[in-house]
Amino acid sequence: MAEVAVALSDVTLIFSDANGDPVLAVDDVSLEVPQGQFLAIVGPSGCGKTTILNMLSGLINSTLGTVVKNGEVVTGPSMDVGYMLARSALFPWRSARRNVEMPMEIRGVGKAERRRRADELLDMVKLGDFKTKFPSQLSQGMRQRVAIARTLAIEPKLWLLDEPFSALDAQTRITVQNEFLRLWENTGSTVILVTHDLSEAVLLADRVIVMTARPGKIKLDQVIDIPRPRRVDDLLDNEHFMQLEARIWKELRDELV
Amino acid sequence: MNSSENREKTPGQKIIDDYRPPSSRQKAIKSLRIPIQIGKVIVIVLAILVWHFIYKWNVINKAFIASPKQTLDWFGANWDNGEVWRDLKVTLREALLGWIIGSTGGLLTGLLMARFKLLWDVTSPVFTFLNAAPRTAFAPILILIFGLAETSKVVLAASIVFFIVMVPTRAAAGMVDPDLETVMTTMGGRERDRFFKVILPSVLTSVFGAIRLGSVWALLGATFAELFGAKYGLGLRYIAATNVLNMPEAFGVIFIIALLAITINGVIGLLERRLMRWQATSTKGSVMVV
Repeated sequence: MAEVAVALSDVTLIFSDANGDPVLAVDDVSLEVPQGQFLAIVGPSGCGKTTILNMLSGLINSTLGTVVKNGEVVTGPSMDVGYMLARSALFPWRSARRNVEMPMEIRGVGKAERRRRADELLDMVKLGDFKTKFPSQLSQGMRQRVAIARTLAIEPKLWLLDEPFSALDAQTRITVQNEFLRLWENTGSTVILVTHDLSEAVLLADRVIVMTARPGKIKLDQVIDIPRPRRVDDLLDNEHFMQLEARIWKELRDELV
Repeated sequence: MNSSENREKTPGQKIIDDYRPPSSRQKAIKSLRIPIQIGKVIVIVLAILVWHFIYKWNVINKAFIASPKQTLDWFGANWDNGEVWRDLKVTLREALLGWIIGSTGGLLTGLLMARFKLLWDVTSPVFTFLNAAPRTAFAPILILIFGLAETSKVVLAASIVFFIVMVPTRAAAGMVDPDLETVMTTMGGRERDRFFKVILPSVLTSVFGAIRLGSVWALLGATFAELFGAKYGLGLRYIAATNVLNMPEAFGVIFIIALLAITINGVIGLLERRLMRWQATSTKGSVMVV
């Protein structure tokens, strides 16, 4: 098996709620993700999916256990992680181009180089004609593409996706998902996608993990052996896809009631 | 993997469908523009007529007001009067200085108070009192302290603008989109990046209106302080004119001040439109709030 990109060992997270009472959000989770794998984590709301992403990104620290990324214990945010949220979180006062430039600005990349790279990335997400447009002038789907381009600018070894396709309408979602797969499939980078949409998880990922309701534990760890490259709309009526989805759904259903 | 080139076409096509042309309603509003301009002129003419007849029919004692014609004549006689221009320059300088000092101070203090909540908790009673106190009533005291010259007017203007800007700045700094902060942090942004690339731009966006409003209040503050004593200035000219019942001059000065306020507001409005062109729908028309 390939080199391990991410490893959680016996990770537990306890936070205090609004009343100051402790809440067990993640309960003794252990997980290894090999470099280059696309892992999807599904589970009911409040199962600690996003919390796991936040621990991986270094936004929060685990209460117990260790989080290791590329062989090093995570202690804070680092520049080789690309984080995407449900809302595009673009800077509204910046044009598409200057949004994509942002991570390069932070790293101190020179102005000309920044612009050249940003234009290249926007061409890659097919927004070449919208470089100077502001987020308010773009549709939701276009904004999420800009966010993909911005994350590509980070050249992340690890993508952390927190339901980045969930706010899109059905057609746009398929387009943006395909776009993401096309751009990601040759990069060799690792993806961890958190979603409550089981079909999305099965369509996109190499492996799906089902979490239990709070406190979050791993309930099922399923390999998705659909070959790549994939195209989301071609898979929707694929028999193997439907079987896998049905099998995982049975597990997930118990957690929803 | 080599099939990836073939499937680039279809998703790309769909993007174009997302583009929305301006709606027919927006077009209808545009075509209304010229009738609206005509309407504005009619209302202005009517207002002048009302003013004219108030004077002519003695609705208000003629000794205390000037007619439109007298006011216009005053402008005709004084448009090249060096002393009026000097007064205008003095008042404008006081207002601009007060505005710049007050806005900068208000912005910095607001940001500081939002960043260090404890500081705000401790100092808020004093700020609340100062904000509630009738600051224009401090004018005579400020003149005693800072003298008859321009400093006292700058201080009053700045103290008014300070609170107009500080209060919304503090609020806006607490309402920065948390998603933007998360993205900035995960990108590896340092505290400096967070401040200059996230907090400051979003705060400036929210308080631009307050800063613009502050310019008009700065002019008001400067003029008001001059009424209580000054060496030069439009406020002084105004009070001197009313003291000898020279109403055409008093009215003339009022017009100068109003035109000045409209001009300042307009210039900042243009600047705002330029800086805020990224905002989708405009809530940024030229609303005068005084």
